[in-house]
Amino acid sequence: MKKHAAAFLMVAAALFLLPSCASTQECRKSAAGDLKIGWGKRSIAMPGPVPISGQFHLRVSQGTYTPVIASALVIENSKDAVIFVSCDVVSVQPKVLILVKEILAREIKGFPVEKLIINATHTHAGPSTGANVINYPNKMKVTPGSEVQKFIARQIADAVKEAWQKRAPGAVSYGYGFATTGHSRRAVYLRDMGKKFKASAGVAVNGHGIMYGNTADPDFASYEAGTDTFINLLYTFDSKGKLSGAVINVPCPSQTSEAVWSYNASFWHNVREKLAAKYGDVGVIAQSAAAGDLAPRQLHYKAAERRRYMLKYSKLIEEYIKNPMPRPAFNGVKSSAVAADSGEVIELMRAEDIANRIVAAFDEVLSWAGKEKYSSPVLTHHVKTVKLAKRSFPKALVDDEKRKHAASMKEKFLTEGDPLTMLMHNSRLQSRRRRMAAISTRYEQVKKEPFLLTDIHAVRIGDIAFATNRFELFLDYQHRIQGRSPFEQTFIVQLTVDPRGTGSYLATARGEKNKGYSATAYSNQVSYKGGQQLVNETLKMLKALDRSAVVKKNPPVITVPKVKGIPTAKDWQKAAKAGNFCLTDGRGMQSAPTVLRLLQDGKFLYIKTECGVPAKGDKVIPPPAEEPARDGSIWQFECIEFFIGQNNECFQFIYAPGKKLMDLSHSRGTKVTGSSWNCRDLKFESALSSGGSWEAFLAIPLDELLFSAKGKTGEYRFNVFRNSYYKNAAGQIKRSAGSYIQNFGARKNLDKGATLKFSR
Amino acid sequence: MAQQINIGWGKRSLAPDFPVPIPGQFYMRVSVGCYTPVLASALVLENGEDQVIFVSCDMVSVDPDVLLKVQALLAAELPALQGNKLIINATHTHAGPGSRDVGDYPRNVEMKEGEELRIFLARQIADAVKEAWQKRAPGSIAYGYGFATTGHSRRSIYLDDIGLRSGARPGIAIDGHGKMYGNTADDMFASYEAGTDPFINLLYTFDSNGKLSGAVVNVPCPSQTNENAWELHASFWHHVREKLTARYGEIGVVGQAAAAGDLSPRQLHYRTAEWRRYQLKYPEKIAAYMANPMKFPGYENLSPEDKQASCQSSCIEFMRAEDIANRIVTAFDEVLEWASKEKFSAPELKHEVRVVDLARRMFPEEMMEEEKKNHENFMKEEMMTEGDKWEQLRHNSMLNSRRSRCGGVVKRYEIQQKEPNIPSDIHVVQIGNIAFATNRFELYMDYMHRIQARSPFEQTFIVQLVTGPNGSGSYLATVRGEENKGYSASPYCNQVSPEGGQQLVEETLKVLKEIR
Repeated sequence: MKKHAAAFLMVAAALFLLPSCASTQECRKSAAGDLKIGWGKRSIAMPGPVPISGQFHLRVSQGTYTPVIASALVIENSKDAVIFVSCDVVSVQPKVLILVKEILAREIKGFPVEKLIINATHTHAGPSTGANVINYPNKMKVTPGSEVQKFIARQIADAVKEAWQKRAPGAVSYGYGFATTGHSRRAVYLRDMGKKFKASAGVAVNGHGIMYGNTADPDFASYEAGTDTFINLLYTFDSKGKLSGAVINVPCPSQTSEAVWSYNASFWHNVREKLAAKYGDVGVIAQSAAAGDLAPRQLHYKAAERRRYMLKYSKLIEEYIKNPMPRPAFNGVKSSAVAADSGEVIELMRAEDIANRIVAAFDEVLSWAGKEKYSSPVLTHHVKTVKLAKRSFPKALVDDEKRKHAASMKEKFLTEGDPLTMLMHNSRLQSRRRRMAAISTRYEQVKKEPFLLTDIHAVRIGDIAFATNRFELFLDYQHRIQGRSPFEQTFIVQLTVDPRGTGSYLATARGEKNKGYSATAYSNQVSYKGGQQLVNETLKMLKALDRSAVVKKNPPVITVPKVKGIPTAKDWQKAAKAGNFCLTDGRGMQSAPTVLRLLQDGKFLYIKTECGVPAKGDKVIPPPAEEPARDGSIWQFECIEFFIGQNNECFQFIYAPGKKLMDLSHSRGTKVTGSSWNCRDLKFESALSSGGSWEAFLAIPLDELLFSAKGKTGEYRFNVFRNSYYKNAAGQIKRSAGSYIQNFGARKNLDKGATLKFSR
Repeated sequence: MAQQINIGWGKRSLAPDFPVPIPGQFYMRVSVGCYTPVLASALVLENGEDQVIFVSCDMVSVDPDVLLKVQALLAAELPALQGNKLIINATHTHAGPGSRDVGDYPRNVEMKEGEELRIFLARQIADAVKEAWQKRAPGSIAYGYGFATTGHSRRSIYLDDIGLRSGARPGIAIDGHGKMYGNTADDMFASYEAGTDPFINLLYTFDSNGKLSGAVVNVPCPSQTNENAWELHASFWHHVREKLTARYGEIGVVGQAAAAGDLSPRQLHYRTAEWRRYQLKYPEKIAAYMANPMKFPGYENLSPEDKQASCQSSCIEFMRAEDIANRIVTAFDEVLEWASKEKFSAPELKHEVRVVDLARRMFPEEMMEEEKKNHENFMKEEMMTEGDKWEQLRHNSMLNSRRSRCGGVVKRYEIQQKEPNIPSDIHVVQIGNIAFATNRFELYMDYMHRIQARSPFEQTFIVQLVTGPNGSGSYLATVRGEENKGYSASPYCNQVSPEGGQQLVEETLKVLKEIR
């Protein structure tokens, strides 16, 4: 065996160096693809006194500090489409979605309106898309909500129209990297802090958990769920391979500067500016992954953070102080002085800092992901309405909220004085009253309608997927989906509007238990049980999108029928079958088809193997004739590796066309191990067919399978690998490694292998 | 008024030219080569009034006896150096020389271990410190923090009690809702227990000309990539050192793991995406690795596919180290760029060393009885006395581990009433506006956040796995850890209770506040 080691390593190294295309089916980066890509964008900075929502009080726009935009990306092929739109708003209300769909259906014939995915970036300084009915005393001029909705819908529709009209052949690439964006915003304490830090009625109920809680408190215990530093990226390219844009997905709502009174897209603006400076006018779809419990704000190291910005961004700070953002004039006084270390400056530098990390990750991932461009990836987009269990409340809570609501009704609206102060005070009181009243309403509703209906989009683009939801989703749910998804990467997109609603936090069981803003009855329409339903429904959809979902992650039990002696043609018809090989790394199915048929007679296991080629004209490359018939270096060529074992021991049969076979023992039950072991009375035949494929017949004497410990009689673990090695019609040599059960590690490890049971 | 600070760097190899035990797994490995240098790196900071000597060692842990030996050597050879001001931390590479006694079980593999190896290690560490001490000269420091993803949570939590599915693993762990490195593709997977921490804390040193001379790099991640290796290697710290040398010349690096008992360099989801990332990003490095992979006993006799599989999985690990190192070095550069605008040549330097009593994790009698039974069962299992020597080593060392872990619970039960507290050494060091706080444990991350958030300092570098005369190592889990169970939070692994963990937090903060 030693003489082959060097050669083997060279082959192994060569396998590693092969471009991914050669190891995946359908050569997913084919040159002549049918993918069309288009980008568009529009400003949504409506002029005038437009409401800005995101706090308990309403703000009114004093102007524009950074552009706020709707960005649209169309990805389409002849079979399906997806239209991503990201909006610099805190949430997109269903009314806007409905209006956008109406416009597009009217103005673009055949436009697939159901394939629209509109997400809010969750900046807290965008124009409000709500109805914003002002039913409290107010002296400020405020643009009516319905007018804002019409304006934003028109702008979004125009962005989509531009993208649709500009769509042209192109390609995509994808990858993931790391960028610290969000931090946990749920501080958890060693004891119940509900009494020590009592939140206002209608705002929250604190418990062991407090949103943005003080981490310097002696009872501070931990962050509830920590953070997530993954960044998911999908790049688009034009037909010449030039970068045209990207979907950037980070688990962080863009809510720096969340209390300002002028339009501000938060860190996404900084990201767009930096990317434009580097790559020209590229499109950016900005998505927040699940981040209900995350925020751009770090809750400890505040002094260190301040120092970091002062030293790193001294010039930017200087410039800002000279020209700060528009602000409201409380009591008619417009203050313009800003201190270098004020909260306002810190928030802006935080956005700059986050953007720098996103752009660094963008560049880093592009440097390698750009090597694999796919111009005809599989594109499938499913939309499904699912039912999620609503959060229900005990009667006592409802009664308590009723009392609190009654008390709040006694609190008075301001009816005179500074209009801005009035607006803040009155809108906040109104919000609190509404949230308390809603508890009673929902209490009654849950009895009649225990489920909330919501839409999920699941989109497959090649080996990655997108899965949307309408919530401010707690991070754990994302990990559940990503951990179980059949796709290489799964972009979770939160705050995606559906026709029935948008927004609301979806907390976990530990969130509900810890309480605090975002995990109390006020904030949660859906329960944590509904959260798990969202996870399971999403995974169902993802699996339905993915052909490799047939990858046997839960290994089957195969019962091998018994025959009398060497099987006849008729016997083979009732043989057990093992087929549908996946790539060993789980990235999809192996394009070269393989089927094993299995029979046994109590003495021998009979295996008939049919090894096809991926396409007409392909021809497998068998081991060269000079290789010995037994124990040659045949693994480098087209071959099958069959493993059968018990109790962590196994035997390995490598066989190839041209009657070449290697048998090895990995069992202490045999006197010799490795290839020194030779199975006695083994019967083996193999032959190439005229079509470039091959077949083999193997009969393994069961008495030869000696293990050090006795396992169950007539029961084995097994797995089969196909080393597909062939020349295609164009004369190119291709390779792929496939297996019956996905196995990326040591092949002889049958822990997760399938089970063979012999019927008696 | 603080005095001018003197700074010195030194280093020595910890890789002897003879086979040594490599601990870090339940079974013992013996070095069959040295894949990357493994080092002791020393940094002396001293101002005539006080001093701190940081030493990082590419080892899984440093036995207290090594510390005592180093202190004895230095007391004899460098009287001005205060031995108690030595802060020796293990980077927790699982492929460094083992300083503890290997244990008494039949084996047929040659190695030098125990006292003989400790003498070697102590000499090397002492020489590194001596070099740093003798080279110390006026200089300055700068500091800052940045972000680098290094560790990931390694504690998967499930909606159901996974321990009921798989049963107990005597001598290893008792799983509950939590499982170390648990499968995240499981239908009942619920979350990572405590998430992760992407902060990196950096202290840079400069010579009198303002030239960078080295740095303390502190990340919440044990350097345990390629943790099954049979060749000595330093995991990602080696890559970091190589990259920094290429950029900045011969500079010193003290590599510290911040609290990371529940973290590891391994990501538990996105595994396929991870390998794709490396294949596309590092094709040349993969080819180089495949041409010269880490070897292990019996490698040459392996079947080709096992060779391939072993190369492939160790290659992924090696690329993971490369990837982490790239992020550390990127953050290093980024922070240096702005932090070096503020160099401090006379920062306050105060170094307190304390012994604190931490509440022991107590066991109920039933658990002790259960472990007694487990121990008895393991004592009935036979040691291998013949056959393949490597298999013998693996089998016997594994059996020995399980025996001693079960036996350990019984012993600890016996003393828990008499000795309810465990004395533990901590160092607290002020250097200007930042501080270092050490502990001996594999400390769960939450404790770090408690200290950092309440600390009066701008940045607080938590340093885990720092050896004290009273001991080194063992996981210190949180309440949620104990509740969720799983390896690292089961009785086998925890000497100190969560209550003791909070005592560590409070005692550390007390000293931090005193010296501020």
